[in-house]
Amino acid sequence: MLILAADTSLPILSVALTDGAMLIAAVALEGRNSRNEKLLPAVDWVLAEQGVDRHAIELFAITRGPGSFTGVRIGLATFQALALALGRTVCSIPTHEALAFHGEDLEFSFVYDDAGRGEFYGSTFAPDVSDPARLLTRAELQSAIAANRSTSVAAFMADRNVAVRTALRAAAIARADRLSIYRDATPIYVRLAEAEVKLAQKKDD
Amino acid sequence: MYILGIETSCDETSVALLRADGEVRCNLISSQIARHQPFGGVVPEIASREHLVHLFPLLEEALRQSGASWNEVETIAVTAGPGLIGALLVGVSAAQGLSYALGIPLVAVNHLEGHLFSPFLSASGAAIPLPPRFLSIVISGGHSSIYDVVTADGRLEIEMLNRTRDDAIGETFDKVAKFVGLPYPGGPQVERLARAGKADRKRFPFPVPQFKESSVDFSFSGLKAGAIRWARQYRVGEDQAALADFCATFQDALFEQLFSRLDTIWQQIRRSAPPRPREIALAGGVAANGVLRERMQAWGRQHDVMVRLPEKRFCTDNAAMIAFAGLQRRREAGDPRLVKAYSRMLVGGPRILGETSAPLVRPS
Repeated sequence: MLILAADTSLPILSVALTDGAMLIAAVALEGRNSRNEKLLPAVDWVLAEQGVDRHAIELFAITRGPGSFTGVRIGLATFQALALALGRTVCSIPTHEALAFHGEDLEFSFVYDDAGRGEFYGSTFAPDVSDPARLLTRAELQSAIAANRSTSVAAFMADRNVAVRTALRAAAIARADRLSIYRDATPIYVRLAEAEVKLAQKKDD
Repeated sequence: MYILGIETSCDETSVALLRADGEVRCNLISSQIARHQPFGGVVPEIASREHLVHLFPLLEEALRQSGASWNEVETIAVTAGPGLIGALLVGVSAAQGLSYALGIPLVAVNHLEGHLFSPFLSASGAAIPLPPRFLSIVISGGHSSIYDVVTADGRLEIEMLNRTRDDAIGETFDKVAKFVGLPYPGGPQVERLARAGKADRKRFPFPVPQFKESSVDFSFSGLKAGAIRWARQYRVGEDQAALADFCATFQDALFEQLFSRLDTIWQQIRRSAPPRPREIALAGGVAANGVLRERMQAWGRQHDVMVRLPEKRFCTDNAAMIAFAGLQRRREAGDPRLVKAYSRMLVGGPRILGETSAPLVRPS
C-alpha cells in the first residue's frame, strides 16, 4: 500500500513515501514559515524522484497537532484536498502519537513538546491507547518525565523524520483495519484562541 | 466545464462553481458572524479555525448541488490576498492540494478584483459582458477605492484612482455603530435606523474632509471622531428618535463624501483618452446599502451612465466573485506549487506587497 505522509505541525517540515512499512523516500526541511510554499514542492519532489504517479497513492497520512496552529491547518487542508480530489482516504494522526509508535503498536510512553510561554504539550500512551494532548506547567512536565519513559518532540525531530514515523503509524492503522477511527481531521490545538481566553477571564472577573 | 472558486480571506468561508461564461451554478457561503459577535469584531485565529471546519463540507456540497464531478473542473481560483494571513492559508492550501491532485491550473486572485468585477455577475445565466472601460467603486469594511478598468482589445488594466487615507467606509459604519451600542456588523443596523430618521446636518455638523493638494482620496477618520463626539454630546444611545436622526445624518455624510469624490473623478476621466467609460460598477459590502443603491442609480441617470449594482448576495465576501475574477485572469493560471498567500496585495499598482520568502521549487 503506497502511503504519502507529511508533518507540518513542527518547525521541521517533513514528507515521506512508504510502501506499507517499507520506506521509499523522505525529505525534511526548515518549516517555520511559508509551509504552504514548501509542502507541495516537497511532495512533488518525493513523488517525481521515485517516478510515482500521484494517482498511485492509496493512503494519505497527516499529523493534526499539537504544534503550530497555522502549520497544522496547512497540512490538514492540503492533504484533505489531495485525498478528496483523488478519491482516497486521509489518516489523521495526532503528532505525538506518531512519535509514540514503535514496531507494531504504541508503546508505554510520554511525549512532550514546548508550547511556548512556559507551558508544554504532553500526551500519554499505552499500547492501543492514545490520550489527548494536554497543556502542562513546568512542574507537571517534570513529574510526568520522572514517572514515564519520555520522548521530547524536539529531540526526536533533531535526528529522525516525523513524516516517516507518521507513515509507519498509518500503515499499522491500516493493517489493523482501524482507518475509520482516524478519519477525524480536527486539528489538535489544545489551546483556545487568545481572544477566547481573554473573554473568559473577563466574564470571570 | 467549471471553474471552482474558494474564498477564506476574512470571516466568510465560501465555495462556488461557475461555468466558463460566468454563470454561477453554485455559491455557498458559511458566515462566521455569530462566532465573532462576542468579540465585537473578527478574531483572526478563530476565523482560521472556522474556515478549516467548514471548507471541506462546502466543497463536497458544491459539487453535489451542481451535479458536477471533479474531472469537470478545469481551473481553480483562490483568494491569495489581501486578508488575514492564517485565514487565507486555509483556502490557499486546499486550493493548492486540489489543483495539484487534479492536474489543473490555479489562479491566485486578488480579493479586491473579486469585488471589482462582481457587479457583472448575473442573477441567472451567463455574466454580463465587461464593457471596454468602466469605473468600479469598491467599498467595504476593509477597502474604499475607485478603480479605472480597461478591458478593450483583450487588455486587463486596472488603475487605482483613489484610496482612503485612514479608515475604510464600512469600518467607519461598524465602529460608530459599535460606539452607539448597535450590534456587529453595524452597517446594516445604521441603515435600518436611518430609514426611520431624518438627516439633520445643523444638529450634527459632520465634516467633509478636503485635502490641500486637491486629492480625491477618501478620509473617514474625522467623520468617525465627529460622530463619536456628537453621539456622546447628544447621548443618542439613550433616545431612539435621536439615534435615528443621528444615523441618518451620519450615513448621509459618508455618502456625500463618496459622491463628491466620484463627481471630481468623473469630470477628470471624461477628459482622458478614449475609450470613454460608459458604466459604473458599485461593489463591496457597503454596496448592499439600499439608500446608497438608490442614490447611485439617480447619479447614473443624471450623468447618463449605466450603473451596475451587484446582487446583494454578491456584495459581501463570496467565492462566486473570486471564480469570476479568476476567469478574467485565466491567462495567469499556473503551477499550484508557486502560489503564495499575501496579507497585503494591491490592485492596479505593483501587484504584490510584502513578499518575504522564496519558495523551494524545481522549475517544471
